Amino acid sequence: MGRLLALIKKEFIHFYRDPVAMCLIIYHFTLCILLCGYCFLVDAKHLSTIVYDLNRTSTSRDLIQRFLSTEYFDLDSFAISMADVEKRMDRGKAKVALIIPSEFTRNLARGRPAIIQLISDGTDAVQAGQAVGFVKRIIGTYNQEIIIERLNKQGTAISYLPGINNRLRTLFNQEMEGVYYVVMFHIVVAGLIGGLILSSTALVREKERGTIDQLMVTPTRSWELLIAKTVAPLVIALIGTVFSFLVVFWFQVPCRGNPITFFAFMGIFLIGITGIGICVGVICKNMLQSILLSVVIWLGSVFVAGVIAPLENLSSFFQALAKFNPPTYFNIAGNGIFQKGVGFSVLWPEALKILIIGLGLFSFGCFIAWRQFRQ
Amino acid sequence: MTGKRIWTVMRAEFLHIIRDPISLIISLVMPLFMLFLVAYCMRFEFKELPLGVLDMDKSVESKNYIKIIDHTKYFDIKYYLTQYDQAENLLVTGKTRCVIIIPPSFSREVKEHRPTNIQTLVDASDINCAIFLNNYLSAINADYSIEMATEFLKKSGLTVDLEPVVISARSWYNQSLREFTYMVTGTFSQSILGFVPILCALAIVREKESGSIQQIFASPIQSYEYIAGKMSPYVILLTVDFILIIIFGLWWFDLPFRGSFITLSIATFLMVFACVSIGFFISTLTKSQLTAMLLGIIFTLMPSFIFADTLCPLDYSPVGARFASCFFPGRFYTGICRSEILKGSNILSYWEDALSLVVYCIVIFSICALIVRKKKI
Repeated sequence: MGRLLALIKKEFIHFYRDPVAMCLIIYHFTLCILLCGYCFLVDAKHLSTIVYDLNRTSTSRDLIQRFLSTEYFDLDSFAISMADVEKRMDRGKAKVALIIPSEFTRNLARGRPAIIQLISDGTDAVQAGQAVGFVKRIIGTYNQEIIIERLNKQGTAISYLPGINNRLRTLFNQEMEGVYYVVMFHIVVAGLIGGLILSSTALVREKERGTIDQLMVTPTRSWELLIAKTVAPLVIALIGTVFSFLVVFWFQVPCRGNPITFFAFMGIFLIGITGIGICVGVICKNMLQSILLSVVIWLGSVFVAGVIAPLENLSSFFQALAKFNPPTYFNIAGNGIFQKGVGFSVLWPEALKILIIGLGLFSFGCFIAWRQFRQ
Repeated sequence: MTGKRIWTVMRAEFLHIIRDPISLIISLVMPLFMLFLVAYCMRFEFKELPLGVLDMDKSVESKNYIKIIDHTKYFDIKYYLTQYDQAENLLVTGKTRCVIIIPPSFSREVKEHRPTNIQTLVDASDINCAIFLNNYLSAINADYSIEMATEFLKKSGLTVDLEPVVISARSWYNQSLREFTYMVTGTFSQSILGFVPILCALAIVREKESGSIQQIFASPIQSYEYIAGKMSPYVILLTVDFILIIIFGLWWFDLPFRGSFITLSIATFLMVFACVSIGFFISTLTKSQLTAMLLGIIFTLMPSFIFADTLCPLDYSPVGARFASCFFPGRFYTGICRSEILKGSNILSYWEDALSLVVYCIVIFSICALIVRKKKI
């Protein structure tokens, strides 16, 4: 036991002597999340729109006003020719173009289909798809008004058309604040950076400097060394998480669950992550390899965790891959604790899965390290 | 003499790279890995998303409506509920993201041709998913409403055009609205900016950490010769990477290539140059590989995601973020890539991006030159 404590102490001294690295870890847990909180707002609103009105009547102006008064479309400029539209779209200044042909009012008055044209910048397909959706909604209500007006003229007293209204009720985040999700996403990312990189480099550093040979001749067991290498990154990343609560307060993210449960989960998550890190550290021979390999794993586990796009949308191969990825479960748990306000009674399967993955990898690492030590 | 010294350093660095095949393979495969991750994991279109339904009406009409939703390729009704509590329970445990509740008055109102309400409970803890869900469901409801209205008009013997105003929606540059052409072109800059600087910085910091840089100081080699020799293998490595990405982009992902290859190559060269310079800049800041790595993540890997205009379109970002994005070359290169590959527009339409990239290269190179002159490798 004393041996283990001495080894753990040694690891902490390493980190204590490298204050720059510590500051950078803290950066990932604080400023980086802050930055992402401001930038990662995917909700497509305020699309810059160029309007080309060939009709120039009060009806067309009324229709344009209906578009611009929503929060989805912001006026970029009024075009005076089609070349104008092309130029603004090509330069990416306008994302959407709304073109009202000259015969719009005439067609409308004669009861013929009045066509308006919508051009969206398809380079961002998600945005373009959403823009079409918004336009359809606006035109839908406009059409209903026209239909009711026409029916009334025909002598049918009617004030509504049959249809389905969707009463949307959002649970857990009634305000639809995007930032809550983004902050949680980046706590996951920061935890990954802290746990993975610190633990994978800790062992390799000894290998590169040759100090591992000195450890081999001491009575230290391989698993003791690995546990020491796990504990230090774990504690440091947990301290980082405490700092990340500053950002949580800054964005006023409500924590509906118990913060202590969250920390406990962070600890479990970090056990899973350091398990991966230890495996990387045991396998790699030098710093460069371990750093490159951890970046690969880091990228992979962020993308396959269901934080960027929902897991249900991915192909079955990636869904299977996600089952072995600790961030998948931590993301569910983090959002569960923060936004849904649930605790271990609901989230215990997630905790169990992370622990199994982490401990499994850790024992695998121990096995390989044991073989390396014997040689 | 200079050429010979540079060549010697280059050869030494080449030997380093070749003797470490794992690192070599990772650096060659990494950009492709990123390309595939982005293309296959950033899917925002729903694919048989499990839904729950609480049908309080239990009529032919409501069953018909449920069938319509179930038959779309986006949704799969997996849970048929009988009580409201079950709905909340499903959402809390995360088994489904959305529960549709059909009120008992549904069939009556449909039969009487009156507007009817449907409640959808959406788990908004994943906000993007909630927004997409709402959009998809609205579209389905709109179609169903038109059906209801048509039937009503037919019954009451009225004739009126149900779509007085018709939208003809078109999208330029990417007609079939394939998401990943946008994502994949964004990855080009990410895979270059994302880890090249780390690789370059590590090459120099490694020597610092092991102390072999003292031997360089003692030798007659000039610092610019040393850096030129140290960096050129990575420029070659990157060129190979870039060619790989382009080949995979065109062949595997069917990207259209509408612009000129020469312009793109020049832009890529400038981008690589800027990235190598950033890497060198990072290497002057630190002596430990761990710190270099963390700095690399801060200066390049994270910005390549945040500021490269891919994951989060810069148009929605606040002014401060847009300003900050100018410190990283990613967004300029992404702009050029999209214009060249997807739009095929000429250089005049994106001169701002091109000019910014050139200015960026000049600035970062001058900074590096200044550092080298003061011998602070």
